[in-house]
This record gives sequence, C-alpha cells and structure tokens, in this order.
Amino acid sequence: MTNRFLGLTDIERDQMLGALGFGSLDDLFSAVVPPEHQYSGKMTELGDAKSELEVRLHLAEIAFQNRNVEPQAIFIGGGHYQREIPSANQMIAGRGEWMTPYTPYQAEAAQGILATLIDYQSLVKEMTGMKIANAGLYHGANSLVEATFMACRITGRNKVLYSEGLHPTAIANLQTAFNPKIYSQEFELASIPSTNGITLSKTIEELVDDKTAAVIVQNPNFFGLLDGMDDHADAIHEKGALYISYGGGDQISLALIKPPGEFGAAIYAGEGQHFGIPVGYGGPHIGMLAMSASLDDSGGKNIRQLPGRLILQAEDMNGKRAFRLGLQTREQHIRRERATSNTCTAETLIAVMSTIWFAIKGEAGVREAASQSYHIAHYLAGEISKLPGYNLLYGGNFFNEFVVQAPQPASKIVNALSGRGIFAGVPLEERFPNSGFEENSILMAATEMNNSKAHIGKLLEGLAYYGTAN
Amino acid sequence: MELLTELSREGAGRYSLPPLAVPEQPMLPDQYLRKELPLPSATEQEITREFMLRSNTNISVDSAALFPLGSCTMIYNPALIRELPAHFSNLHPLQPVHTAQGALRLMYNLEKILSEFGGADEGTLQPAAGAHSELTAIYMIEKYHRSNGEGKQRKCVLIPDSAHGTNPATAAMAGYSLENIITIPSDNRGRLDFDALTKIMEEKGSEVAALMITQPNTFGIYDEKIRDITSLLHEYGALVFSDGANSAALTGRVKFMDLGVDAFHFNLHKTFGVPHGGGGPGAGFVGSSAQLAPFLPTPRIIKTERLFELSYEHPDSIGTVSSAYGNFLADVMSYVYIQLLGADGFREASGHAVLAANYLRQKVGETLPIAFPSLTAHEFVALDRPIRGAGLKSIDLAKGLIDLGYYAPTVDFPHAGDILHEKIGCLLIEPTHSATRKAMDDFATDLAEIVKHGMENPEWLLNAPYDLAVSRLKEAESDRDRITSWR
Repeated sequence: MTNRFLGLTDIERDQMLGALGFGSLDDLFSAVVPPEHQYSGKMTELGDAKSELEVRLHLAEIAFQNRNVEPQAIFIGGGHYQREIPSANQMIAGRGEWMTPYTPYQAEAAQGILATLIDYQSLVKEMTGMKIANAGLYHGANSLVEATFMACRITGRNKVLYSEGLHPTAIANLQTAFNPKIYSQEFELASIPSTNGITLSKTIEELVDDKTAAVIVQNPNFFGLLDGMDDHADAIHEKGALYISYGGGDQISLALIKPPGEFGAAIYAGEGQHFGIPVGYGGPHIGMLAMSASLDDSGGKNIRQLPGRLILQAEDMNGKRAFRLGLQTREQHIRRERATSNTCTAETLIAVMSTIWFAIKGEAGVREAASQSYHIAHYLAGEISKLPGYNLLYGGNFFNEFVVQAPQPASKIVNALSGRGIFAGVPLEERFPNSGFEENSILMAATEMNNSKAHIGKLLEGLAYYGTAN
Repeated sequence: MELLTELSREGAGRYSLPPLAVPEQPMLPDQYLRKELPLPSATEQEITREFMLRSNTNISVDSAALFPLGSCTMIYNPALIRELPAHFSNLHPLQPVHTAQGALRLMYNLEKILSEFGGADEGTLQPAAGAHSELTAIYMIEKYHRSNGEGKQRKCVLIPDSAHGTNPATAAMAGYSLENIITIPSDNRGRLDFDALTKIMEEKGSEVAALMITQPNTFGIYDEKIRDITSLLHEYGALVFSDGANSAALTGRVKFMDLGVDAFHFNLHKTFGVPHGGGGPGAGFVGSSAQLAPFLPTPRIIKTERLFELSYEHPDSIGTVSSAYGNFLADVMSYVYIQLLGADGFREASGHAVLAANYLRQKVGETLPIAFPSLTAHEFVALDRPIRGAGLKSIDLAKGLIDLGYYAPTVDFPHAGDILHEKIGCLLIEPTHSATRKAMDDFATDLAEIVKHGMENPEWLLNAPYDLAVSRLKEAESDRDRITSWR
C-alpha cells in the first residue's frame, strides 16, 4: 500500500523526477545522501501501512486495556485534577483552524490565535492577581524551573530554597535543571523543613540569606494544605530574595482563596491543566507563569527576563487593534545563547482550550467548580476520619486534597479498591519512592467530578472494609 | 474580533453543575478567602460564534494553499490522529499502573519504533517539544562527562551556524557558560567547515563536551562528512547530539546512530504527524546509545513478565523533565500516524519531501537566488538579494504571500546575511511530502509576481497584506507600551 498522504501522484512524481534528471526517488535520494549512509533493511518494530479501519480497531484494543477514570469513583489528584469540561470545548478547539496552524510569528495571519492568547494571559492574570502572565510553558513544574532561573537572573544570586510541601515531581524537575549549574556554576538548591505540613515564615527567616535568589512555597501544597499565605512574602523579600508561589495543588482553588498576587508573591508558576484540560495520562498540560506588579519595573528590565512567548496588544498600519508576539528579543530565535529560555514550541492549543473552558464556564461556573471541590473534599475528609483506624495526617487548612493515614499499607488498599471501580487516591510511598513518605499514607482529592453520594459511599465502604486485615 | 471582556454581559451563560450532593461544609478562615473574581460571562452561542470568527483569521495547514515553513515541517495531519486521543484523555497519570496498561504499552511500543527509526538503543518520550528534547539530551551528555570525572574539564559545546535555532539557548540553559558555547562556521557549500572544526578540536578537544549538529542542516543540506565529524569528536572523547528537527528528510532511509552520533531527537509534531496547534503541544523523543542510556530520565517504561511498569531504579538518570511521562496524548497521535504510514510509507514520505524541495527549489530559483549550489534535502534557502535595491526585504515577500493564502516561509532564519557576509535576508522554504505539484507551481508563479510588482511599486508590497483580518502591524510601539492583558 502506498502512503495516501503524499501530495503527488505517481505520474507527477515521475515527471518531476525526470525534470530534475533522475530515474527514481532512490536515485535522487542517493544524490543527496551517500548510499553508504542509508540502510535498506526492513524495520522489525513497524509493519506495513494499515488502513484507517485497522488502526481504529488496533487503538480501540489498546484503549480497552485502560480503565478510564471518568465513569469511576476517582479520588486521585496529586497535581493532576479531573475537571468537568463542557462539550463546546472539543467542538471549538477540535477545528483544524486551531489544531493545525504554526506559532503566530506572522501576526497578520494568526490574529485569532493571538487574541485568544491575550485572553489566556488575562485569565491567568485575573485568577492569580499577578500583573503580567506569559502565553504558557510546557507544564507546571517546567514553569517553576523557568521561574526559578528568572529569579536568579533578576537578583543576580544563585541559591534557591524550596519548601518540603513542594510536589516531589516539581522537586525532581528542579534538581534535574539545577544539578549541572550546581556543579559548574556553584548554584545551591536546598529544602525548607515543614512544620505540621506547612512552611513557617519563622523557618524561612532563619534560612534565607543574602545569597538567596528565591524561596518556593507551593499552594495548596502537595499535602493539600494552604501554605505560604501569611507573612511569608515579607520574610523573603526583606532579605532581597524573591517569593515564588507555585500552584501545584488544584488551581481551581484560586477561584475561592486569596491569590498569590494578594499575599505578596513576586513570581507565580503553576499547573494550568486544572483549568479545563483533560488529565490525559499526564500531558499535554500547560505551565502558567506570571510576575507581580511590584516586580515589573517601569523601565521594563524585569519583564525582559520573562521566559516564553508574550503576546502584546498592538496596532496595524491603519490604527486598528491587533495582537502580536512581543519582546521577541528575549527569545531563542533572535537572542540565541543569550535568550531567557530555549523554549520554542510550547502549549498554544492547550491555552486555547483553557480559554474556551473559562469562557463557557463564566464567572459563576468557575466559582461553582471550586466551591463544589471544596465542599465535597471537606465532607469526605470528615467522614474518613470517622472510620476506625483512619486519620488525617495534618490538621491544617486545606482546599480539596488531604493525606489520610490508613490502618493498612496504602498500596494494598488502593489496589484492592481499584478492583471495585474506585480509584481511592495516591499511595504516596509507592508512587513517589525515595521521597520519605510513609507506607500507609494516601493522598486523596475531590473535585466537582466526585459530586455523588453513591461514589463517596462506595469509597467509604471500601476503605472501612480494607482497613481491617482482610 | 472581541476579547472575552468585551463580549461579557453580567448574568450571561448560566453554565452549571448538578446541585451539590453533600452537606455544605464550614468555610476557610476569612483571611484566606478572595473577595472578587472578575471573570467574563457569555452564552455558549456567543462564544462559539466569536471563536468561529477568530478561527477564520488563522492560516493553518488545513486552510493554506501551501505551508512551506522551513525547518518546521508542516505536514497534513490525518483526521484519524485528531480523533483517537479522545479515547485516552480520561486516564490519570497516578491511577494504578495495572489499570493503564494500554497507555504504557503504547508508549513502550512507540519508544521501540522511534528508537528503530533513529537506530537508538533506548529512548524517552518525556520531553514536551523539540527544544525540550535537546535540553534532555544535553543534560544526559553533561551527566555522562560528570560521571566520568570530566565534568569540569568538558565545559564547551560546539554549535554550527547551520544548526537548528534553539540549540545555543539549549546549551546555555543546560548550564554551559556563554563564552564556552562556540559557533562553528559553514563553508561556502553550506556544509560545516571541517577545517575550522578540526582546528578547534586540536585547540580545545579535551574541553569539548558535545557538538550539537543538525542533519540535514538548516540550509537543507545533508553533510556527507558527518561520519568524519562524529569520529573527530569521539577521538577527543566528546559526544555528538544530532538535532532531529529536519528528520522529515531521512525517515525510513537514514538512521542517525549509523552516522556515529551518540544521541538525537525527533519532533513528533514535525516528523511524526502531530499537529502544531498554533505553537504546541508538540512532543519529543530522545534516542540514545547504550552508553548514554543509563542517563535517560525516569520513570522509564519497562516490560516485565506480566505488566508494563514504571521504573525509577536508575541511579545515573538525570532525573525527570516531565510532570508525568511526557505529552502522552500527542504520543497517541504519533502512534496512530506511524501505523497509518507503515515502514514503507515513511520511506516514501522522506523521498517525496526531498523531491518536492528540489522541484520547488528549481522553480523559485527562477525568481530568487538560492543560497547554495548543490541539490538540497527537504528545504532550501532563497535569498532576497534582487529586491534589496528597491528597499524591500524577505519579510515583505512573506507578507505578500500570506495575502494570497499561503503561509509564509521562515523569514531570515538561518542568518544568511552573517553566513554569506552580505547585507541580505532569506526565505527558508520547505514544501514537505504533503505539497501537491499544482500548489508548488502556483506558489512559484505567485512569488515571481509578487517580486515583479514589488519591484515596480515597492510601496504596494511594503503595505501588504491587504486581505487579512489586519494590515501590517506596527511593532516597536507595542514593545514599548507592553499591553499584555485586558486591563
């Protein structure tokens, strides 16, 4: 079978080859690439072309080996939260005009994308209370890495502290990015111990010094607790370091709780999946990144340290409002090794999807998703702590996620319950090995998708059953 | 076009969830609550209409007469690959692995297939895009040297001026200092200047960590000396990363590892069918030699007797670059695309990509000079020299082309002026295997017309485009005003 996606017919191909003086594609190819660089063997991992029907059935068979979370009672969060997504999202974002364009360098041919990215930047700004948001990076942890490098550039310092309540995967991303610099350029990366699951500003004060570029506190933190919202910013900024608030816990919380712009964060990095993007087995997601009004100096020095695309409002030659990629001299294609980041292709379509989600939900709908997540989680936490042998690990203020201490090993309970159509949560020690979690800790979350007495009842019943030594 | 705030009417929309099924719970302390949430509200119909109007202003692969964007490989993305990820979107990355066996199997098999395409021993799908893949590979190389006790010593990264544009920023991001990121010039045939490379290696060989080379390079030229280049680097204990941005020229015909490189990447959104999405999501694959494999990011996907599993026990690993396992839904698209084409389909695709580029090169060459004389691989550089006298530049040709429904070729990358030592700009043109002959003929004819009319009436071309949603943008003013949001 021939590749049906080729633009040329066989006749056209042969005529064109003739015009170039070649008898066959292989002859032409060998005039470009020496034959001794080519291989001619058959592939072992890939067979012949398949028809659309065969591929559809093949993928259906693969998909059948997964259990989709939507019809299940799912209480798994851990940085990725299942959210209700209106049908209009797929209807609009699935169109080829959104799926198949390129990065909008040619602004005149991409006003729809650019306008939507201005909407996206504005939505991130409104949700976080920061002043300037970029158009998105790969994922939350990637934004955090970029935010941290940005803080190092702005302060001219090399030491970074992060709270123990930071998501283990975010810590791992930071370590991967910092290790070469720690080695070659004497950067430092160290953790701040938590007290009862949260970061005390007193502890921060003790650890921040005049070499510290940034202090990272996640909110809600990995244990689901509100963290870093008190006088933390003052403790950090007094020493000339920058406060990075990391939105690694469910960011729908921002519809209900005080945003980082109001509690004094200088830079915000966060996971944008929580705003209407499918969990998708972990990606694609989108990384949010924003800076505060106080960091945005009038000369525009710090905004030039912002990584990623930034969309600006502009005018065309006739004075009509238009949008474009702005401040491109920060970027890799112009600035090369002096760029603020190497990021090129990022997550535009995810930003578009998220914008549509916000638009359809509207103010009331976004609030409702946040409020339901909160009430269901708190109800659930209350009921679980009544079960014999079960306790909440921490007593602090939480949003929609919490750590349960179970009377049996967490992975045993979670695996047993998955057989009953219940995804009970994240067995922390199993899923994040070497992070110091205890064997019986389960991280549980609730969102608006758990708004079912039946699901909650099934979970409670299952926990009670497997809580004894069954 | 109206922004969402302009569309917003208080009380519009009324999208809602089912009523809360549990009793309301006590609220958090007041000091932690936010007071206002100023988000726009509109009806579903208004939003659908607004986004429909917006979408009509985007020139996309689906709508363009030709999308000849050099180094970006904008191929047609078959309908099936757009449909099937929906079957996988409701999988949580932290659900028990035995309930996500299909997803892990797909990634495992895709890693195997992509490894074979590049001749790699092992690989990873964790990177989210091309530049992210480069970074992952450079982290691996850095860690490799460090683990050999040569980390401090090997402080230089060499990058040809014909490399993919993101490479220098990648090296900097990976911790190499600016003075140690060294540009290697090209010769007048568009190949890496082997004498210059030899000289640098003789001088600094023991300090070199890696060469980041793009094959075929950003001029569209396949460097026949690639094996000499990789051998030279290896002689001095340095490694070679091959940037796979231009792999569309090679798939099914040339394996990177056969050329002596140590690691390479593929862009699943250029070479393996994933749509560009207006700037992502893409997905990346890094393939490596057995020697570098211990440094691949974790978790790795492994196959045990009964199950596909996630493995963290790789003490030399660089760590992780993803929030889970990479852009999985893009992996699904790629897997579908690969199954549709089959092994032979890729051989045909790369052959056709090379044919189309050389055909169009000849046609465009009748209007604009082509930077280098030899046959090209999948793309070519056309110079704007003839229009410079009239006060016109490559960007003006681009604006003329988009006005006619083509997407513009890549403008002024590579930096032809620096390379040819001439005040000159260029268009980097890549028709891909998707291009029809008619589209290429029309493109060449229309480009010739644009050049002709532009020379006669430069004002006309300087003011293009005329038929799009907006006319030519004023750029400097907006960089100064920096309006980034609604208010």
